[in-house]
Amino acid sequence: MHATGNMNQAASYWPVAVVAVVCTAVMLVLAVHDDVPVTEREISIVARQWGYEPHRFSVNTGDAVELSLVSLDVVHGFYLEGHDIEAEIRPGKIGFRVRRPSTDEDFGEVETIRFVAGLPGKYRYRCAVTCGTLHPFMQGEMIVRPNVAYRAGVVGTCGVTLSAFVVMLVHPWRRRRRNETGGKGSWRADLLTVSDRLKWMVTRRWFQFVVVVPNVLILFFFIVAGFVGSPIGNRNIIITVVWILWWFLLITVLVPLGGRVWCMMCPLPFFGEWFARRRLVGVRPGAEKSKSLKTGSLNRTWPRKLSGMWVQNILFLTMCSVSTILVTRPSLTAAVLAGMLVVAVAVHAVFRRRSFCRYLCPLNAWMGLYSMTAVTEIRSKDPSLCEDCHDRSCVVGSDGAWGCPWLVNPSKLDRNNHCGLCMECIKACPNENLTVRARPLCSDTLISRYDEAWMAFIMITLVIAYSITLLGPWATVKDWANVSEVGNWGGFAIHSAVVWFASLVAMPAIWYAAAMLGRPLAGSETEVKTSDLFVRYAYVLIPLGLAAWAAFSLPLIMVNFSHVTSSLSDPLGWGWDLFGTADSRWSPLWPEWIPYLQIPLLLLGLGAALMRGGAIARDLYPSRRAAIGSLVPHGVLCSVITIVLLRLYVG
Amino acid sequence: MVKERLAALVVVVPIVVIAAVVVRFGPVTAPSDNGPGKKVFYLTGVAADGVWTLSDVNGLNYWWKHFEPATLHVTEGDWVEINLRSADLVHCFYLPDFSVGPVDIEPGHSRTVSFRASSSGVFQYYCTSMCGHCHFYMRGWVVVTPEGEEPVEPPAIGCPLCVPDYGPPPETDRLAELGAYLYLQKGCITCHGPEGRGGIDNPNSTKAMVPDHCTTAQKIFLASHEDADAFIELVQREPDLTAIDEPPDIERFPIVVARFANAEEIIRTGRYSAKLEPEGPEPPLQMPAWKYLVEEREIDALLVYFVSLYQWEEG
Repeated sequence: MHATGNMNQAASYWPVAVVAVVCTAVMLVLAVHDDVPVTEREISIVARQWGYEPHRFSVNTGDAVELSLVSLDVVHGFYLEGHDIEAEIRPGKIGFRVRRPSTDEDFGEVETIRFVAGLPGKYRYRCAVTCGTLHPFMQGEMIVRPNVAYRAGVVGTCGVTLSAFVVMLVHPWRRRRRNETGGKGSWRADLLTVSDRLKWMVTRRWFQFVVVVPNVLILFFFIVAGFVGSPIGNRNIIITVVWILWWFLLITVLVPLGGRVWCMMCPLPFFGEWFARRRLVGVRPGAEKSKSLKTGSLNRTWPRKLSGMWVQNILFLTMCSVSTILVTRPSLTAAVLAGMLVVAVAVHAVFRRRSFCRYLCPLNAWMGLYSMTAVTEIRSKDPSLCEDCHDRSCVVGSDGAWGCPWLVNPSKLDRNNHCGLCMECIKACPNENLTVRARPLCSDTLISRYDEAWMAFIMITLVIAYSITLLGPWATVKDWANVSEVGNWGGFAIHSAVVWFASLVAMPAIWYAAAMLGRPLAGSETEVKTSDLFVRYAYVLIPLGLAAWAAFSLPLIMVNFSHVTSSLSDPLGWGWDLFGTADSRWSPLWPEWIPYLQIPLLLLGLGAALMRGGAIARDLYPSRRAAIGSLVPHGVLCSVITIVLLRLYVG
Repeated sequence: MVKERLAALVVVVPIVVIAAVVVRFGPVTAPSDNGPGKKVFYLTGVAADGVWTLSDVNGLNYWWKHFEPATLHVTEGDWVEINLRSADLVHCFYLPDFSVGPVDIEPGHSRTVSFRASSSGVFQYYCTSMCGHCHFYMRGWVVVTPEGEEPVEPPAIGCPLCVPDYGPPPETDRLAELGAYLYLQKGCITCHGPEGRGGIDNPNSTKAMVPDHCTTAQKIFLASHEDADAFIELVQREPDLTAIDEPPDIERFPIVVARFANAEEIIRTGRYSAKLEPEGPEPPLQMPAWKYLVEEREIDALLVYFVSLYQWEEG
């Protein structure tokens, strides 16, 4: 299954990587010679629900720091990354208790702690004692100057941007056919011919049932846990597994590897689909001609006006406005999931096939968009065979398979966006012409609709917004987002308004301005409309966005992983101990290394975004000069976004 | 169709099993494992209401239900077991009369304490780790009744701070009025009594009771009603008494200032209530350090309020 085609595609990424590495190395060397005076510092930190004051302080590497800690309301913790310090601060007490997490010794009472600021970089201090709803996000930042990592990241960003454009300039010019699939240009490997076992599995009627049912049972248990289990997020399995583990796996594993493979195993439409089909495993020919609930479903067609992604964009943004509350309250998460389950049943009863997933599920819009990056796809092996095919089993179904539940024509798939990987079309095709293929990352590059472009804007804005609200050190912003407890509706209004305005208006406006700038830069040989540049180049936000979301999710999982293991032993927070891990202490996994994983991730995302941008540019313009010129403003914008994220994560 | 039925069973049976397991091993909220001479309680700490409650606190009701503090009724001689957990943040359970605790109750880690109800009477249990707004009201009763007698019903403990119309701070620049407000709002009243009259037990402390505050005027050596009024006016005018060049017409002024500063320092850094019996339990009520919880001027306000409480005898 190795590459058979042209190796240029792969080769063209190398210069980007080389320049990034060189820039990073140069910066590191420069930083070592950066002389910073070593002094003694006294720092007093006040903790409250849910933040520290000062929320950020800077010291020089080698400084002797004397730290005193105070709490204003309830018992808080203080875990300083990379310095082996964990403290417990009680309100109404002078002094606090401290221990070295690397040793097993218990806390000792002290008035101050002294430590020497370690290697340069950004270290966060976090709450280590469950102190209320937003406890997992309570943190502050200690900058040990000179902040080499951040400088290296910024220089790396410039390096990647420059080298990407250099590569575009010197790389052999090859104009791609519009959204080319297979054949020349990039490799594809037919997974079903590679593995007979895989082919046998996906052509079994029970295949989807078997992958969904465990998730249905897990979801049922989670909803029960959310309602009757502990109200504390980090002690309730619905929060720890859904928002820590599942979210991380979705962003970093499932979407890049399998595209919408989650949709294949998603339990939410399970009952709706069951009741409409009246089958769990088998096929009921004629079921989709039913016009009555008695025989399954009314099978109406979803209203055309609501069939774009705008409904989902708005639903998704709405969900994200309350996400700070959502991800910290087990009962709310349970209610939302249970609600989706119920709505799915209702929608399946009235509308055709997976109308719920296609038109209502708030996750559908972004999952579809980001699945364009995936390394797998379902496509027809030989499109000409499909053109001559009058059977159309993949669309209408056959005796052995349902017609495509996702309401697309599988034989004409050229993007992953709406394919839920249910494998029905593979079972349906009489010519065995449909298959699952492996391919390079980010192979689909075609965005031609405004609603899709807007989802890309929403997602890139949200990752910045979340990095500020949830991962940032600003307690006030957290209070605004946590309105149901704090009750500051004015602040909540500001927070939501900023998020909505930034993602629906500001980001698209900046993007459009870049397109307006890009058009004259391309010269006047070929006229490409500004709106085309605007929409087509929106695609570059997808590799960048995926990398940014992965970088955002890293601290969530690495810091909170022990919450997952402890809640596996005690899923409802009732004091069970199934696997002996329920009472384990909270201990983050190498949190001081998180920035060093985030920087390369972001740079890789930026590199991929720019190179894919180059491919789109080649598609739009006949001449190299025009193509590159048109991409410059959006390329610069991508590096600015990268630097903003670097600033938040490492700066 | 056999396959379909089998598949349906694969879905339905585990769902029923999961539901059954959750119901069977669910939280026990009422005394259950009670045997002869044994009482078992399940208490959950809830910061929002400032209570240890017998109710089941779950993901759903935590957000809307008002939980009541638990009164634990046991018979003299019973072996009492209390299972403790927290619904939100770190609490600390303490029942000094039976030397139970103080034990930290961290969210997600349940702890069990037990004791023999060896003497009859009404005993108070506490939360001794500050847990928010209602912390000082987070108390309840253990009622130990001799065999065959009617149990007494102790007075209800309710947190007035949870009443929504408790009100914002008074819009006044009079320190005494601000002090009166803070005295309630910060929870001082729970230990030092209404209007600073004291009378609150602090088991096994050298002073037996928490100090009152209605005698502060006397404690800082103010000689007369007039002196007290003059002093209140002085503090009202002058935030820093040590900066005064010309001593006002107040008797023993330097001593008054020194004692006043001393009282301020106690509020700032707190004070340890020493044990009466060295072998006995730690006194449950300890003066917290208010240094970071109230402002300097608010400390002045509280002390001015205390001074104003003194009942001067005519003549």
